[in-house]
Amino acid sequence: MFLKIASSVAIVVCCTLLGMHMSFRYKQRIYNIRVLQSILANLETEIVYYSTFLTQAIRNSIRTLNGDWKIFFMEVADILENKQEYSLDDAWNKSLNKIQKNPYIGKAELDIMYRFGLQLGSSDRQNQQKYFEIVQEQLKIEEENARQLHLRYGKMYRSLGLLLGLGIAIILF
Amino acid sequence: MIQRIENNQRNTLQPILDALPDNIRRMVLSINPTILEALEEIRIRQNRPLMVYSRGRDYFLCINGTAVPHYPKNAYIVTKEDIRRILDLISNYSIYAFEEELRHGYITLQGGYRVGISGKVVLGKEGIVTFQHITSFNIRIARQIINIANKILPFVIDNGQVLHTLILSPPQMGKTTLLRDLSRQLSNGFPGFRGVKVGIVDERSEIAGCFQGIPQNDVGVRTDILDGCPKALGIIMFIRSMSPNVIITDEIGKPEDVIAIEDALNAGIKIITTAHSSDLEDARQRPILKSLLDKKVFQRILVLGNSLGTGTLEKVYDGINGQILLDRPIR
Repeated sequence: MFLKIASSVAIVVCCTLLGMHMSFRYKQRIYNIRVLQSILANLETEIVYYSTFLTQAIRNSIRTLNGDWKIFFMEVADILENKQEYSLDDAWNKSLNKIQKNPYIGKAELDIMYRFGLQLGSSDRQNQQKYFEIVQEQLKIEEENARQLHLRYGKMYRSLGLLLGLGIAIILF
Repeated sequence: MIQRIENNQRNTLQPILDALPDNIRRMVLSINPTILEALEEIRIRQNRPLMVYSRGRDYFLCINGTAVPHYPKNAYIVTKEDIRRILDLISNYSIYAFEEELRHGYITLQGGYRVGISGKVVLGKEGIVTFQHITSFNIRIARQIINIANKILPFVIDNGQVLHTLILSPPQMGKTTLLRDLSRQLSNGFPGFRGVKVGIVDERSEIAGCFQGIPQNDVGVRTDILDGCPKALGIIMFIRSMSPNVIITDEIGKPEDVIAIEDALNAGIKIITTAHSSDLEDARQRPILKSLLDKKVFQRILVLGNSLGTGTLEKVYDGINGQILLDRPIR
């Protein structure tokens, strides 16, 4: 009897945690998008107003921030600084590939960043500013989408986890 | 093969080596040391052979790194990929940081080296906007010549006072090199002369060769530099805020320069500047210079030429009474 109760509780807890984890993905994605927006805003200042060299500009922009995109930008800066035979495109795509399996980053952001990487650094400041504006706009839309998804599915997964756990426990009891 | 080049030599060339892709860097490093020592230019042109200039001669680089004076069969042909890599490396992946320099057709590397650029230009309302296709690079290896200004110092300084000086010279006669050393000596001082505060308005980053605002050439301890700043604006900025004793600029020629120079004179600041011209008579043909000469702004007018080799001091005039102060050319 005791074993039955213990295992049922374990199942319920596990399923609830699973549900919370699924719901956390949605929340974390929103956080990551916001961090990305801040990084890009910093990067824009570094490039458009100070004309800092790209690697230094990237390092300055991520200094005070955290999250999965910080790792991406650090990777890009490292590759470029080590003067390996990489172009910016190569470094950018290589780093993007590394984080594309990250569950807290949406495919939409990856696509936006991929296209942005093609333009970064390759034109004058006025032009760069234009690209920053475009990418910020696109990210805003994605942030809104992510929030909608979080509202819709975030709660759902959390309750679904609990219900599923209870369901299994009742059937097995 | 890298050991063949002395450390010293490698250090001076390092910023240039950093700007080259691996394959080209390897070829440059394996050039015969006697050629490498006096390397003046590396010419990189898309789809054409890689060439270097040294001691006034040009050489083709072969795939194996030997330099030969005649077009060899195994000359290294520069590819589009090489050009793209070089552009990435010399601009640090940051074209936006060289917006203004690109418009003037060059990029300054760390170490004060200048890379000339040509290709297809995009024109806008206010002149050149940028380059659409960059296809050639000319990496120039400038060497600072310390003490080259010794011969002109007695004419520029009178009783411990720096005089307003105009240096006239045709292109490629060592005018900027002279100015650079003059700045160093005036700023550091030398026996019999206490160093003074010097301000350099370096519109084209040639005198001090600044990289990220730091002078890469020795221009003296009491020297401030406005890098990439238009001369007229720079002179006025210096007068207002940096209290220099001497302002040094290169190649005056615009009407607003004249106004700024007069401002500096009225503020009691000495001006040392240069102009493209082969002689005083020549200079008088140019309206801007003529107005300055007629107003007797400059106390000394130095003329450079090449009668005894590049950088010969041909003539020295007293700008106030027109007397000739140097009887024969010196080098």
